[in-house]
Amino acid sequence: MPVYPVFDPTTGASGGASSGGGGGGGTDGPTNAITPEVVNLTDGTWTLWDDDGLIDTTYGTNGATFDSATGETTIKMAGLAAGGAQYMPATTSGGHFWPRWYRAIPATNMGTVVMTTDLKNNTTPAPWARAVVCGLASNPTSTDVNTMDGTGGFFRHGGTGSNPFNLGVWTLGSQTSGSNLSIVRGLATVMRSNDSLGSGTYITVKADELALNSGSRNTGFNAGAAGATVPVFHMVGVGTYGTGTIPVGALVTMRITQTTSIIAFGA
Amino acid sequence: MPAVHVDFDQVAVESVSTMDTDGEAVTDDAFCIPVIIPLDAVGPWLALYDETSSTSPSAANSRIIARAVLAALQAAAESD
Repeated sequence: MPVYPVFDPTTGASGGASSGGGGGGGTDGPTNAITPEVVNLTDGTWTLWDDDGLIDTTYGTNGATFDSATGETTIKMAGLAAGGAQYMPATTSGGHFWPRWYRAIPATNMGTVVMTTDLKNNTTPAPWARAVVCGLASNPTSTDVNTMDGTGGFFRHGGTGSNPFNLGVWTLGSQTSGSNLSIVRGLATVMRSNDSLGSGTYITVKADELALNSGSRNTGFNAGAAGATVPVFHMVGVGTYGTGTIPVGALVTMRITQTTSIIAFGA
Repeated sequence: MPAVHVDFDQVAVESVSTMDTDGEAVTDDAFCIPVIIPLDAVGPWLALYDETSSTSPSAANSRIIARAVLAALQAAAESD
C-alpha cells in the first residue's frame, strides 16, 4: 500500500507535495524519500489551547514567531507564579493543563499513523525548567491524560547550565529519553494504529551528527477509544520540567521538524 | 525456584518519567533493566509473595530476583 505524505513541505498545504516536483514529498513504491515539514506555529493552521494563560499571546501570532531563515519557532511565556504537576507533560498527576497548539490532520485512531519528529533546541534564550512535546493526540483540548491520548517527540531541560538536555519520546504522561549535555537534537518516531497508541523510539544526536543514545517507550495503551473511531491531531505543547515556576517573558526557541505518514494497509 | 531473566541487550541508561507500581511518580536518570518473568513462572513467583507481610518474600527467594537485576546492573555499569 502506498504512503501518502500529509503536507506539502514547500507550501505547508495539506494533501502532500504537488506533482511535478519542487519540494520533495514521496512517491508510491517500496521506499519513499520524504522532505519533512519544518513546523511553523504561525502559519494559520494551528489553534492554541491555553486555559491557564501560560502563553504570552501578545507576542507574535498566538504567542509564537517563526524565523524562516533558521526554521526556528520561538514561544514566549506569560509566566507562572505557582507551578504544579498539571503543567508537566511528563507526568500523569494533575492532568494536562500545559499549553499546546494543535491542528487537524486527515487521520483517525483506527488508521496507521507514523510520525517522525526532530527537535533541535536553540540554547541562546535564557534557560528555564521547560519541556516540549511534538506529536499526535486524539483530543488535544482534553486535560485528561488518557483522553488526550498523546505521544510524540520530547524535549526537556532543567533550566541551569549544568543540566543535561533530555531528548526522547513522550507517551501519555510519561517519557523516556537520552540525557546528556552534548545532545543537540533528538529524533523520535511514534506509531499508532487500530485504536492503540502504540510505541515510540528515539535517537539523540550530537553536534558532530553522530548518535549518542537510542531507546524506546511502549504506551501499553490499547483500545483507548473503546473501538470508536475518533480523529487524530498534530500537537505541539510546552510546559514545565517539574513543578517549578516560569519567569515572565521566558522563551523557548526550537526548530521543530516533522513528517507524518497515514498508511492504509487494509484488513 | 521459578525462573527470572533480564533482557540484557535492552539495559540502558535513560532519563525516565513514569509511575511506580505504588502509583508514585518517578523521574530520574537511571539504568533501566527489563526483568523477564516467563509466563509459566508467574504463578510460582506470586505464590512466594505475600504483599501483607514485610518479610515476604523470603531472603532466599528475594536473592534470586535481586541477583539477576544486580548482575545485569554490574555488567552494564562496567561496560558503560
